Amino acid sequence: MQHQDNSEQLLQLAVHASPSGILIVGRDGKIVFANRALVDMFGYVTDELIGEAIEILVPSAGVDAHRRHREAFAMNPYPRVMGRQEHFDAVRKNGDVFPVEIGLRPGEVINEKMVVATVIDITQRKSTEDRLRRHEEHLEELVEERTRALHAAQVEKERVTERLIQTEKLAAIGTLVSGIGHEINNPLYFILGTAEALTNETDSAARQRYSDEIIEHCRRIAATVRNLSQYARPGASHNMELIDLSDVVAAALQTVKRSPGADRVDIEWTAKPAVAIRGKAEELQQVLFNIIRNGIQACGANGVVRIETREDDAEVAVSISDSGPGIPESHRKQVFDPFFTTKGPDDGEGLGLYIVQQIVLKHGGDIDLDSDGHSGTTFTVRFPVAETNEG
Amino acid sequence: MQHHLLILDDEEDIRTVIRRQLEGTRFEVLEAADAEQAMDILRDYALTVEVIICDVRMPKVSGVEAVSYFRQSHPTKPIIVLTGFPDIDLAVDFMKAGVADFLVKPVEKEKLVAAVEKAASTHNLFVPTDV
Repeated sequence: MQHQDNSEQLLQLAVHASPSGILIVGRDGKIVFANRALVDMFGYVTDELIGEAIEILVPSAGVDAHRRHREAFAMNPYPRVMGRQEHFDAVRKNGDVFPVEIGLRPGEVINEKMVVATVIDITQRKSTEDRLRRHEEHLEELVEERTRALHAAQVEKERVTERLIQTEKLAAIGTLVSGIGHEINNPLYFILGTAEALTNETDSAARQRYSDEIIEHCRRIAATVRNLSQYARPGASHNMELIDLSDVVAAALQTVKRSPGADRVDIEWTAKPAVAIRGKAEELQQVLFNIIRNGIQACGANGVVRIETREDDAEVAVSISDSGPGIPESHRKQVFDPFFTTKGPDDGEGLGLYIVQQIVLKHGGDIDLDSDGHSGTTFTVRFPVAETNEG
Repeated sequence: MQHHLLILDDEEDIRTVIRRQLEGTRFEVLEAADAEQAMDILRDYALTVEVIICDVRMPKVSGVEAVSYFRQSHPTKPIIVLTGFPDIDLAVDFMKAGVADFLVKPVEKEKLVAAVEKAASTHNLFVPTDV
């Protein structure tokens, strides 16, 4: 009995001690009960709320919608939570609007339908969430900003690279043009001077000699232009055949051994099993011939020229090493330039390694040289291994 | 008094044609195929060489290096630079280094003779005539 007597007081104690606001609203939308937490939350005293329409707690902009929702809820009451997913506003007595989360539970007291609402002030939570969201947005902005900066840097890098390539191209063209200028203007000068002399010459034997010299120098210009046009043609990479690089080395060696000075030098080469690459045999022979020939000329008497082939999955490499004096650092970049030569005018026009490089590039390969500048030089030519399409 | 002119060019053809173009002038042509030969000739003909004609593109010692030797060892000798390819930067560098003229091959006889005469006239300013 004592328990029963106390139960209402216990219930009152529990309800008023709850940190959440608790509100009971009648079917007509009038407030019939509010606990202490709710009264404090909204800034009223209890008497000011009892008997008032629940909309007293709703900001004016939301009153109509709230009324409609309340009426709809009364038609179909079921327990629910409001404001958890979205922003749901309430208004304090002093007019402050604040966010709340509301739980609704329908019930009955002495046959009268009522609704129990629990109200939690989520100002603190919202503000933490807002801060988090703003922080996230700021982070996203930062990321976007960095991404834009990175993108801009990438674009700038590409632009600089493109400009460098253009500059390099122009420099290469400049080197070529100056080489051509030299190679053509020299015989042209000879022709001009000789023609001037021919005009004033009365002796018929001298006149004949001048005419012959003029013809010979005209042919020299024509040969230079022919040589250049043969290797300046871009993309002439059709008609590539499947060939064995060892055959190419063997054929080049045969030609080299017949050339002057070759008998003074030891040429070492161990033939390797067949290595298939795709290319033009005569052009590749010329590549090897030119490099081996340079090696022989660099060695002088009793020198050694060593040829090695290596193969791995993707590429095959041929190295040609000579025991000559090496190539000084200052010349290493220029050796592939057209018309660059350290030999006298009768020993070539400086197109050898330029032509070599052009052919190697056309075959999808590359060439480099290694020399300490004192003893010996190694040229290495690499080609992609051909797919043989067998099986 | 003898009048000598020194040609430094690695190509014999060019030396030959310059010699032909200067035939009939008062100059006797001396030929050098590289800078070392040129320095030897300059030592032997120190007084009578009035003009040096120098190529630019040569193996071993380049024209730029050769000109700098000449300017140091024989600062009063006028130098005419003869190049196979016109390069403005190169021309400016040579003119700054004090060369008398910068000609691009092919050069017509009349132009070469005029350039040589003009260069020689500056040399005469430094040569004592009656010693």
